[in-house]
Amino acid sequence: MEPITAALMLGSTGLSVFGQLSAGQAAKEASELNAFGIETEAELGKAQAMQMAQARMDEYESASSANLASFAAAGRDIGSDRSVKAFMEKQKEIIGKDIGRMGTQSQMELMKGRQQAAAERTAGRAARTASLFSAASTATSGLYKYQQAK
Amino acid sequence: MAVIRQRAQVFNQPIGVVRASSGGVQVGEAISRFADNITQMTYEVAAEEAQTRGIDAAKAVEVAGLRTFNPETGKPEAFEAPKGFGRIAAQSYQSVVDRRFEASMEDELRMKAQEIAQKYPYDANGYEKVMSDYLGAMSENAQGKYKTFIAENGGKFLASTKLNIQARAAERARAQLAQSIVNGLDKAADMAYESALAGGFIATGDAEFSESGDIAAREVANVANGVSSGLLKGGADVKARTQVNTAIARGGVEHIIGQTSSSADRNAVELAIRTRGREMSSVPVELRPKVKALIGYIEPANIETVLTHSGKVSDDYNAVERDNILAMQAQAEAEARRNAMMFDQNVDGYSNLSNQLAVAGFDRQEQNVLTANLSGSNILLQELQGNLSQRFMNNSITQAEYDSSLQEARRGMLRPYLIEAAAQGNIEELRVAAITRNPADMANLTPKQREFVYAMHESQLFEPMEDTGFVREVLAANVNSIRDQRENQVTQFNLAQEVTALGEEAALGEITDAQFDAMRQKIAAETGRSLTATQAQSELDRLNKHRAFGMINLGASGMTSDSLNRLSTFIQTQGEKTDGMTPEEVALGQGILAKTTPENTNDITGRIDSLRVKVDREEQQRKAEITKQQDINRITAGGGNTNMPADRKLAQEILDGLGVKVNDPSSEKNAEVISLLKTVQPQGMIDDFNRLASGLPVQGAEVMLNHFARLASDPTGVGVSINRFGDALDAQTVEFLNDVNNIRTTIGGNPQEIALTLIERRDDPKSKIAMDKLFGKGTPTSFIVNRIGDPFVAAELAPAVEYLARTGKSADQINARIDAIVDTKYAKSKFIADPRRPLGTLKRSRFSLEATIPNEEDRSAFLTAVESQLPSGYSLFAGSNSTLDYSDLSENKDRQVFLVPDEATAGVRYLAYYVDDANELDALIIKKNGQLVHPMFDMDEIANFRKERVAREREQYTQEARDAEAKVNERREYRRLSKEIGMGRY
Repeated sequence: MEPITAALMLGSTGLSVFGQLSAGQAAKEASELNAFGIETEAELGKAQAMQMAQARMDEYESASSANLASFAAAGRDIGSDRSVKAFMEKQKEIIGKDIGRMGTQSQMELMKGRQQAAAERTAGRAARTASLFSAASTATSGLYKYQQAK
Repeated sequence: MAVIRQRAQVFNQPIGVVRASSGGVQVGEAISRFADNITQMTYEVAAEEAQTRGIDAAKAVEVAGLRTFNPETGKPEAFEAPKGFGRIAAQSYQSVVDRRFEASMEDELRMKAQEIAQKYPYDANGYEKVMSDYLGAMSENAQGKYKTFIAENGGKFLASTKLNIQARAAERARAQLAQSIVNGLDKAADMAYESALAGGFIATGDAEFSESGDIAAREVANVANGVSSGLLKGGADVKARTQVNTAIARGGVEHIIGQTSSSADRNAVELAIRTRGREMSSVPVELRPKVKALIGYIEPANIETVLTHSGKVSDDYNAVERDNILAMQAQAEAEARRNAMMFDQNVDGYSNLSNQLAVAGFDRQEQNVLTANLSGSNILLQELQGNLSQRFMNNSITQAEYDSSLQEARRGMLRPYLIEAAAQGNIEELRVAAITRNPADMANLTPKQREFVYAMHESQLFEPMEDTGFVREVLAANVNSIRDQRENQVTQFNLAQEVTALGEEAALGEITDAQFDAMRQKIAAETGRSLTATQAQSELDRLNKHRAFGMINLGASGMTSDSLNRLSTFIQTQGEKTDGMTPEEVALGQGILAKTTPENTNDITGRIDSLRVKVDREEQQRKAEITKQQDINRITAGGGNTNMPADRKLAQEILDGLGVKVNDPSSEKNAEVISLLKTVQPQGMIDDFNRLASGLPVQGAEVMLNHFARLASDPTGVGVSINRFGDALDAQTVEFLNDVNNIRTTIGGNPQEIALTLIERRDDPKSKIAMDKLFGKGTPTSFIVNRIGDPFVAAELAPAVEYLARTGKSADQINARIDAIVDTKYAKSKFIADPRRPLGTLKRSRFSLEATIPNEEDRSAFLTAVESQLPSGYSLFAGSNSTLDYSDLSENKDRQVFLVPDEATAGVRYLAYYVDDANELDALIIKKNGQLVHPMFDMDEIANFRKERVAREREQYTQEARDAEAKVNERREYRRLSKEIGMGRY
């Protein structure tokens, strides 16, 4: 084989290997970045849920205060009035349920985000691994061709 | 208004995920795709390239390289691809090589098939068996596809070749059969030819066919069978008949030609053949039946062939006849001339000679002897005619006398032939045929008679215009007369033969007086009967002359050329001039004169003169031998001069005569040989040294080099070493051999190999570099001049110095060698003053006494001889050579004499010079026997001394040898006695 041809063949094979490795590495890095973004998004969702739960609690407390004031103003015995109590209990139950739902939702979304991040990372690593195999395949193919045609 | 409570309205919300860019991936993938494209493209190019390379490489393998069989395993296998080839190249290579390999195997199979077919060109079964065995063995060893290949292709070749062989065998069988018939015909033709050659073409007795004819009939029938069976072409039987008839005719004509006695007979036979028997009259009678039988085999188709053959055979016979006649003529001429010396050169003498030739010519049975003898007589007649012409020119005889003498001689010489021819009978026919030469007239003559008639007409013995009547007259005599004449002729012949034989003995001085008297009486008895008185006297004179020759031969033995000269003069003057003759010489001369007549004087003196020439030559040879012996004596006594080639050759002869080989180790221990070599070296030795210096092989080179070393620098008793080779070996050769010897003695080795190595070094172009480095812009001559100052000696030594320079010697080494050469060749000498002043001094000379007189005793004797001849007041031992102190006796001092060399052709001689008052050399002139002479001395001064010394030394050597032998014998005797008395070890 002509030396130039041999150099070209081996050089291009090396370059292809390099390109594939580079692509794998870039995919991995992109996945890491995506995972980070997803995790950040999940954390943000959690923070929103907490904020909304707090807001819901604030709203409940505010409403409870208003309602107590209103009941008081209406002359109802808040401590003994069963209706008020029941009403308040009901209010409490609702808020509890809302808070609970919010927490669950937040948890679920957090979990989802984490799973997505993990999946993204896995995809990045897989891309990286795939690029390694691909590069190895290219190198092998290149050497094989060289051996064939030398 | 109710209190407005601020409620949280803004919450952090998911902002969504910004996906990271995939640009890096795309770049990498783009690079990879780009690179993949390049790879693919280069791969395709490289693949094509590899394929081409593989094919090219496979095609480039030589056929011999395509091993069809592994020499180790014996199995067929293809050639492996070369290392470093890729798969594509290797596959391409292998593919092509495989194809070539298969083609090669196919070739091999074909070749083998052909080879075996050649061994069994007509044996198809033999071929099949051998080829099958071969294919089996080959197939058994082969594997895989090759096995199949061999089986298929081999089978193909086997089948096709077998068919060819079968076809060829069949064709051959037919051809052999046809050839057998043809061969049989050829053989039969040969047999018929041989048969006819032996006379088998003539039917014998009542037989219908001759032996040759039987052969012809049988073979023609055989050929006819061949034609009818289709083996031979139609018409072959006709050709066969012609072929056999031609063979018979050729043999027959040879047979007949062989029985002819002359070219005329042969011409007659050819005419008969040409006319197919119509013209037979000229054919000798005895040949006619044979010619008739021969004609039976002559046909239009072969007549020209037969005549051509007959012509060639006749040519051969004619050539032989001519050669034979020439040889016989030469013999007859020699005989005639020998006899002419014995007979008187007159008419009677020549008639007598011719009689002898005629009797012998008819008596001897060889063909052509008669023609030759007639030719001999003819020569004698021409000589006689020459003598007569001379006499006529001298006016000794008249024209009429010349004519009558010539006619008388001619008829006298012809008559014996006519008588001999007539004595054979057929006189009538002979008388006619002798004149007419008509073949028809000659048909009944004997072969000798026919030969005579033809030869007579060819000679000058018969002049038709003058001698026809004479011939008729001689042949007209009756039978008795002829018989008587012939008896007389034969008697004359026999008597002449006896006289000749006795004369030859007499010429050697070996007959007695009684023998002479007996012959004289015999001649006398025949006088008047078979001899005339003149003839009788002629025979006696002849005998006397040879007796005189005998006396010369006996008496002259031991006479000198001068004595013979005086004897010749004495005879020439019929005994008048006796100046300087001894009484014995006079007596011999008178004895010779008494036995001869004045007519024989010239013969006698001629004989003496021829003897004198021979004696003179012998005397010269003897003289040369004596001179040579004197030279040998001089050389063996140490007086040889090696500068003279003649002396060297004689030295070689001396050593050869003694059986001494100078290349034999024993020569080194032989004191006499060593002594001789110091004065003169044999030419063979000089030649050997030159051969050695040229790199040529020399026997006993070791011993020769030992001699060389001894002679090239021979120390003398006065501390001077002399080169004993003088001018016999040039300086370059001496230096070369010096080198060889030095290397041999220091490093060791074969002289021959050393010489060759030195020659290679000398002739190597690099040697010039060494020389240029040493001499710079100078030359070898200028180098030597710088050293010794003498341009003449420098020119002489230049080749030697060039050689030394070329062989890598340093300037110091060369200077040392120059000094050594100068010292050994131009030694300082006490008593010599060389005016040529070699090396700028009178004291050096090539002719120092040490060089010219190697032996010290001889040298002393020479000085003594010279000194004794110097006048009073002059001495060799005065002045610088004096051993006395004359400082107080200056007035009594002798004048110092020096010897000045003068090179002469026979060696060197010395002239005496003395040192005069001005301290210059002056010629020493003395008065001797009243004349002024310049004393000159050479080796003759000590010639006698040398002889005595050599004799003394020889006696001494002999005595020493005797003593040594006696000692050995004594010791042997002692051992024998010791053994006898059982003394044990002895």
